[in-house]
Amino acid sequence: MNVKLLILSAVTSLLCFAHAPAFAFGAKTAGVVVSDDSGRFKIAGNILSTQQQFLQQDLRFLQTKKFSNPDSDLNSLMHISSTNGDLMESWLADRVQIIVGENLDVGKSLSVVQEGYGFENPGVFPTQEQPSAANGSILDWLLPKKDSVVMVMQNLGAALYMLGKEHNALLGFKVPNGDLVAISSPRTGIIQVGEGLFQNHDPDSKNLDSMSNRLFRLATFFHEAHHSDGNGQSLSFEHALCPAGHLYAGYYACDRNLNGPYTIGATVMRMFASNCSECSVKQIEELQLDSLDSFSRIIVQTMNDPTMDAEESAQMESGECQYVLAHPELKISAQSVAKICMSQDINAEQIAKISTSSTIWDEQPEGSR
Amino acid sequence: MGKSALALLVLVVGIGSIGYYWRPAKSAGEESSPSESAEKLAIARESAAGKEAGVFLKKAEDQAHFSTPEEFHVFAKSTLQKLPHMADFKKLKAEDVHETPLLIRQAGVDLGSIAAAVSEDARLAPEAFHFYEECSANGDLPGSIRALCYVHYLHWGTELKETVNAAIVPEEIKALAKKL
Ligand SMILES: [Zn+2]
Repeated sequence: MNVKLLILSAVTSLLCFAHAPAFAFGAKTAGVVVSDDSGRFKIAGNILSTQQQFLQQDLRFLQTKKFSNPDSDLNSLMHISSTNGDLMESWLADRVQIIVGENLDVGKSLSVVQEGYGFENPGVFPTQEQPSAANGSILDWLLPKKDSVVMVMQNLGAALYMLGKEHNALLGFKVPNGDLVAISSPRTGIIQVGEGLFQNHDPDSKNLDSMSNRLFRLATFFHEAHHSDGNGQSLSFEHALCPAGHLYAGYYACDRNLNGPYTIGATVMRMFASNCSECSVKQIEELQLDSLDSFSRIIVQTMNDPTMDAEESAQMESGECQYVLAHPELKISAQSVAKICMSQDINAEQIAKISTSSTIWDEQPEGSR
Repeated sequence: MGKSALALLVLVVGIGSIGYYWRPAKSAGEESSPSESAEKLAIARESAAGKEAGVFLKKAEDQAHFSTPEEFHVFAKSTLQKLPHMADFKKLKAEDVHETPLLIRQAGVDLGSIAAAVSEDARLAPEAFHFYEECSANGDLPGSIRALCYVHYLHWGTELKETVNAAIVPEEIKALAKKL
């Protein structure tokens, strides 16, 4: 089947899927948009009232929290002067403006505000890495099995900006209270949250209001908010395919830069773990492992030959190994050749010759909101 | 194709690597959904030794307390056996991996039980040191788990004045451990 047709035919089911059954409790007040305490975020009325309360409590916690163990990496990543909840909330507010629920017809909320809009970096988009057929495809990602998964969170604003740019049209998004928001930047900050965000993230806790669950929800927000950044090739800080040998090989679950959403999420979670005086030893261990899982997704070095791992490549590049392989007349036994080739020290210079180091991507957003 | 249909098509394609966050429909502790079968397989690994140490597991969840180091030894062995292997993750769906999968979260709880127990009872430290050594050295375990174990291995090695063998983990695990 033609892939485009397949994707198109799946659009309906995907959007239907986004209308997953909501919680059995809590009421929705359609159309109403409420602010959190700080007034920096708008929470749409199509989010269940119980979920709205969690969001407000989470943001209130962040805004008022003083962290006694600062994280200099986090300060540097967020360009903040100190590790302080209020400054972190400001960072978040620059990237998140409106939080909408999953029970929203995205197609019906969209309109074209202006055709032929002058986007920055016209025609320049992130390079889409191609998925490996052996390890799942983008269709797996796009077509989650109905009834088996629920939405946690997505940066709708960034995706819609990309869509508008691809069609050279400024799109408008009608928020549930009827306001029209022009998607003139990935920083428009429309974040869609789903039932999955308000499920238990801590297998050891039954309480959605527990500190560990609150911190897991907030770290997810920071990750997702960072998709509002970037321009041209770095637009929206798209994830990379995890390479062969990685725990998540073949999935768009890694970053090929040093300041992407997984770096932000990992660093925020590390800081939470080192500051959580309310957490038990056990919960801190959970937060630390969560942080390490995200850190493990940062690809710092990419092999120029993707079929080779670093060790193999460096051994082939090493001088002594190359020499014995190139001179069979020396009649060195296969065993000795193997030993020579395996015992080569792999130094930074050799690795640099066979691979490319990831860099800090430009996070300056296109346009303005 | 109309503009809105085309727009939706691109929207769906575009979102792929920006980051849909999906997760299994049921939360931990509830009946598993089909996409959790891989996670159930791994968790089932605990059955043999886990049942044997069931009483200790319960204790660890409640209060992280063991009467004797021998009890903790059995518990630590069973914990080591139920940690998920790299191979278990191959069965996960794409939608399970954008955020930390349940397999890792559950491992955090299990490692948390060990950390909590040894933080409450210093007599358990030598056994915990060996647990962390085995966990760090096990190449079948995900890097994040090995790195966390390595952090504790180094910590308890220093505390107990035990010889630490840095060669049990590759450089990439050491680099990951340094992130904490
Ligand atoms: Zn993401």
